[in-house]
Amino acid sequence: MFNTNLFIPRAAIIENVQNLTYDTRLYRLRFKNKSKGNSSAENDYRPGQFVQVSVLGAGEAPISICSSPSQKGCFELCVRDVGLVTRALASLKKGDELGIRGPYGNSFPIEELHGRDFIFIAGGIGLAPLRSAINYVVDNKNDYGRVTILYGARTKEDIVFASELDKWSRQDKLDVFTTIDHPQDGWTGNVGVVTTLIDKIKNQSKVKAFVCGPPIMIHFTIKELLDAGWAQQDIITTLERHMKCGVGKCGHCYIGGKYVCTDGPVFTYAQINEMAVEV
Amino acid sequence: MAGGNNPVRTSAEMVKRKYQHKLVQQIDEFGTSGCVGCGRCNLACVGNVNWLENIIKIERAG
Repeated sequence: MFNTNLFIPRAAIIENVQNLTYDTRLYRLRFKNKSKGNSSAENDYRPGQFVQVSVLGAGEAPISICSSPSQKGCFELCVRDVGLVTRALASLKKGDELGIRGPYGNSFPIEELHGRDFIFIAGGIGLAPLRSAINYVVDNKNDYGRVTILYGARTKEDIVFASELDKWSRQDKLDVFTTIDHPQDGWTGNVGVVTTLIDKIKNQSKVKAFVCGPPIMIHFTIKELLDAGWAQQDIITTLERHMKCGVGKCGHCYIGGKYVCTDGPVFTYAQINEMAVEV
Repeated sequence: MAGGNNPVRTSAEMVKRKYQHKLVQQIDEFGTSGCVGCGRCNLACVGNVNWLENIIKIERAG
């Protein structure tokens, strides 16, 4: 755990801010003070976990860690301006301080699945939490099989991690397919919503598929995967809810008998059905 | 939230969530309702349903 006390944030310094799109930024963070006692270092988390980020005077927001734990000395958060806290975050720059509580939540089930292939399907900013898993697999590529990434954004200006998508596409054992919703000048790639790319993976219905993105994209992607023969426990997605404590006590994120902050945010579609939650 | 999700987008959903949190979820979790008897439900109710008394009745029955 990054912070020793359950409810007191640990100070982190912004090492770098990179603009990914007009409303989304990538923050690289390291802790202000060295770890001591039972507080851990920056890479002590698993892909899929999130932190509660606190900005003094604004509040806290749960943000998924978008870097892989194989990267030491820092961790990265991808933040879009959508509310009070994220907009306050937007005014912070390199050298500024913020608070971190975490890492919270469960993780994507990949570490133990050695030798297996994976499919990552992301819509818009949904690529951020999946990037943690993707880079983990890339950094440990000898332990895993083929990886297929399907990514869809509304326009080419909305594509996050463009340079990384490019870097991934040039790795072996990794196939990347990108699409934008409508034709645009300067775009020669696929056109159509991300579900139109599912054709490329039709023959991989036994491979675990990780789906992240806006609710409507998750809904239609899961529907298409099920129609194409995927089993409910092989479709993995994340649920999000408003959160407060992040540690399974306050009940704000409680849904379907589970706490999204501790039993999730990663769930299989089989679990989501059991919880009787609509995705 | 970042992907455009808002589980309580309308005030109807917010109210539903408030009651579910106290009267459904906390019963699932702790076996007792989260109602503390403040009576604001009665103040707000335009239909004179007498929420408070009914919540207490249901809790005592279960």
